[in-house]
Amino acid sequence: MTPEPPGPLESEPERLLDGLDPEDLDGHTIEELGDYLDDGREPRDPGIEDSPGCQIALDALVRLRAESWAMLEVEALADRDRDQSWIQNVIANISRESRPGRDIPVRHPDPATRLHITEGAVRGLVRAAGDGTQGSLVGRVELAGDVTVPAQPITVTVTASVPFGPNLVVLAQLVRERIVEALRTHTELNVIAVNVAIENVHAPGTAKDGR
Amino acid sequence: MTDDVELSRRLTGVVSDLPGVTGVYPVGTLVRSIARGLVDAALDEGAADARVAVTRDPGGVLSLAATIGVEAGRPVPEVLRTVGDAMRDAVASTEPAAPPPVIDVRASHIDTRSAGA
Amino acid sequence: MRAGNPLNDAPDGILAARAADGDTRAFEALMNRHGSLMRVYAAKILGSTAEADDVVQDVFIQAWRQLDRLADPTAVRSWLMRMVGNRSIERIRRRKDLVNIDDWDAPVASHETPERIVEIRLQMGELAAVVAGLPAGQRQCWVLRELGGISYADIAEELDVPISTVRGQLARARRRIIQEMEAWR
Repeated sequence: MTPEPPGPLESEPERLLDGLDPEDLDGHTIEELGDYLDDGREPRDPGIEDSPGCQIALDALVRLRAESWAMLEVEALADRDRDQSWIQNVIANISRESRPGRDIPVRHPDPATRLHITEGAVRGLVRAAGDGTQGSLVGRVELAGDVTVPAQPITVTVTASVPFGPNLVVLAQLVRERIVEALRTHTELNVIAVNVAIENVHAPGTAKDGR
Repeated sequence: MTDDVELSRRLTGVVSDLPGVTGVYPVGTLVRSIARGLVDAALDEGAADARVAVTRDPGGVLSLAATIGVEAGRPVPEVLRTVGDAMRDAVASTEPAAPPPVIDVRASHIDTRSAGA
Repeated sequence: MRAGNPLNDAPDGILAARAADGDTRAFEALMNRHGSLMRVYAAKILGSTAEADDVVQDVFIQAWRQLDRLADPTAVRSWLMRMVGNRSIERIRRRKDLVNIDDWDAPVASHETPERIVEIRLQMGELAAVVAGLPAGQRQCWVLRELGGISYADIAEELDVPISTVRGQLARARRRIIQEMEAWR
């Protein structure tokens, strides 16, 4: 170790350059310090924590990591100014009919005429019914029970994100009622229950597009 | 059989024109390549206008299958029944002597925007 | 950002759940939200924006098919970033089958004048410029480990090199970046 007291790093760049070799890190390597950092500095290693050389190097690595993420986020912002037509390219390549799910029968007097609504279409219906209820958004929609057999008891479960403010119990009930109504109008499912699980509360009215 | 392609075209036209039907989706492998909506599908030459599946079994019995999008202005079951009946009527008028076809109609998308849901 | 998509402010978990059920508008909102970060991350690994664009589009098409298998919808961002890392490594490995592996360690040729270098550093940000100046192998290992959080073992397996090689590249990259950043200050 040098006899002089350590000065500000900016005025002693040579010192830092030498500070990355094992003899400056009390026998540790930069790789080990990197791994130690990755492990969240657990379990605590006194050999590293009590070594001034290691602490200097660790500080540099921590600063570097924070700066790396900041760099990426700044670049991501700049990327938004680039052509975003790739998004529509992807939309054009995915199929709207993927995950149609099960076929849900609809009655017709003629046995040779078979009518169905897809489960995917019904999920879309449920989302549309729940969305917008005092600013709510439906997430996942699940239809439990055998929807392919007429009159089978079906339970609908949805998750939702709701705005902060309205009474959650009242809101859940409102969402439930709208879903029940939509399913009664557009399907012949025997819905015995609709469960609304509120999973998230979001800030109301932040939508700039006037929802 | 070119007759069946012609029949498919006719049925596609009949079904597309029915109130409450937003469009007829092509079935099978074509589905993957056409996702943006029926306006774009019309640009796809060979597939565009013959989207109702028409098959005949060895006995000559027709099987027709249509996958459609519907509007939520009327109850979806009503629209489906209208489509099934219209397809049956269309075939009966061209092939009155043939055995009655098996008809399959599937609503795979429900557009709720116009209904103000 | 496409105006008028009311889902633009929805939390990730809701968007991923809806997209898993087939909602393309929710999927579009996810692409809007995370696409740029994914593109710049891929560009850093691959060293080119054109290939990065391809990778990100492929990832989203794959993600659409597999979203319903994602156990925790709220983790969709890290899931997507993980896929970008994997696809980028695949590309690199395919490239290496065609290109001399010695190039992996070769320093990046600089045709720039000192003034131009300063200008580039100011535009890109110092760190970005330093990373861009690393030899390919060091840059790839550093980006995958630091930004992607991918394990040494996974990086080594995907690039088909020994783990010790990955560690070595990473240590050299870190050392070089720290030195150059401090010198720049």
